[in-house]
Amino acid sequence: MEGRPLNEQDLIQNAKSGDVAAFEALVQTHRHIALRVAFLVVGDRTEAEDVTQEAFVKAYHAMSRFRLDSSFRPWLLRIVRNEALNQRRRRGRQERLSLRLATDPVSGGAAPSPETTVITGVERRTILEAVNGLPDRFREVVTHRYLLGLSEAETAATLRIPVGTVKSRTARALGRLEHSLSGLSGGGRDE
Amino acid sequence: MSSPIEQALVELARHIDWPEPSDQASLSRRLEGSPRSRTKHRWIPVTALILVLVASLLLFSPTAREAVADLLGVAGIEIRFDPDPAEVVGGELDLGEAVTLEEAAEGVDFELSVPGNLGPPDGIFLSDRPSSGRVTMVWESAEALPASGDTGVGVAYSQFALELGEEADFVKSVMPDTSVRAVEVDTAIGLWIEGAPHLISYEDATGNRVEEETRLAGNVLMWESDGVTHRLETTVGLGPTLALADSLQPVD
Repeated sequence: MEGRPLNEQDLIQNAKSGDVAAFEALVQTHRHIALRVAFLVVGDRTEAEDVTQEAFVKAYHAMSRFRLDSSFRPWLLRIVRNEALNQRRRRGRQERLSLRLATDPVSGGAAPSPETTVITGVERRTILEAVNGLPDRFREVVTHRYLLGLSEAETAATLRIPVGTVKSRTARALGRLEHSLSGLSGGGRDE
Repeated sequence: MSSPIEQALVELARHIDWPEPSDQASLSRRLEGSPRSRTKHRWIPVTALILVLVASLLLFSPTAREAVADLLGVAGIEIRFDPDPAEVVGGELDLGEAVTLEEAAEGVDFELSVPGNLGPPDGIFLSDRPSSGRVTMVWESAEALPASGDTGVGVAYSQFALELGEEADFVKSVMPDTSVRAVEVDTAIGLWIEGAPHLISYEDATGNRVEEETRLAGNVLMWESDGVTHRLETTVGLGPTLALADSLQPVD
């Protein structure tokens, strides 16, 4: 297996036939986003980590049912989210997740991007509070689309809702955010 | 071109205090320690169940014969005979909380549909079974749609997100004198269940098993479209019920 690195399709093929190393390589690239999907549901870091790992084990066993013509990331994320929902249900508590800003917001001394110069920390906090305050079905779509950076199709597949619902709910959620942030000045809002 | 609020959200994503994954060593150990063959064993009972179902259907319900092949192609749907429905469900059924159409639309994760030829529903109910929400609309009897014996209801139409777990099943329990056949609804394959009262049981995405029975002691047309399961219960035959299904249109 020297030479060119295996691409995702190769890894999927190998993982489908039970190759543990291939499966690990396959999920390696999706670890961060998978953990975030779980975190958005359970709201606890350790729990999210456990859930993600449990979901990966389930995904490994379900690989034989993965269809080669579908895309892997949303398939995996759906399993992760499902496992997270199961965990939240088993635990019984239905705490509402509040996302927080990192204390060291900009990573490793990088030069601030153009956006960071127009959005201040205070505004960022206000926006995050507005997101946290959205009704679940709107918040889910917004967090998956914009905070996790999933496409509409991936969001739909992960949340198990139709793409049309993702579109309409995104539009309504953005409308609500606009409304609740209408008092916010600056931030390039008058572009 | 994204709007300022979209740009702000994308920018915000980089500042969220996300959890960081730990190393993957323990995953490796778990995967190495859990041979793939275990899954196969888990599926043996399911496969056996399906075979029994098919055999039973062929024995008891001639109308189902033609449908069996199609049926097995409908994702996650299984048919089995149940010894005694009364034992499984018991107690009376609630349709949920009475709500307005707006409240119903707010309460579920999908766009609601409504039959175009029945007028506004006489009752709208929202329930949390499955957890993603279910809306049931009922219409009182009309000339063409007589009510069942004691309910005064001619049509009950439920919609809910088919939020099945990866290994979840969707089981229809029918009595031997109930017939089941696959029919085409719009472009989807649906099930038409006619005859004796029957039970439906399925597992939602949270691992919760939900069971329910027919509400009007009528016939049920069930199909899935875009991740939403539609369940149309009437006291009339397949033709008029399909016409109702064909008339469905999005709410507002």
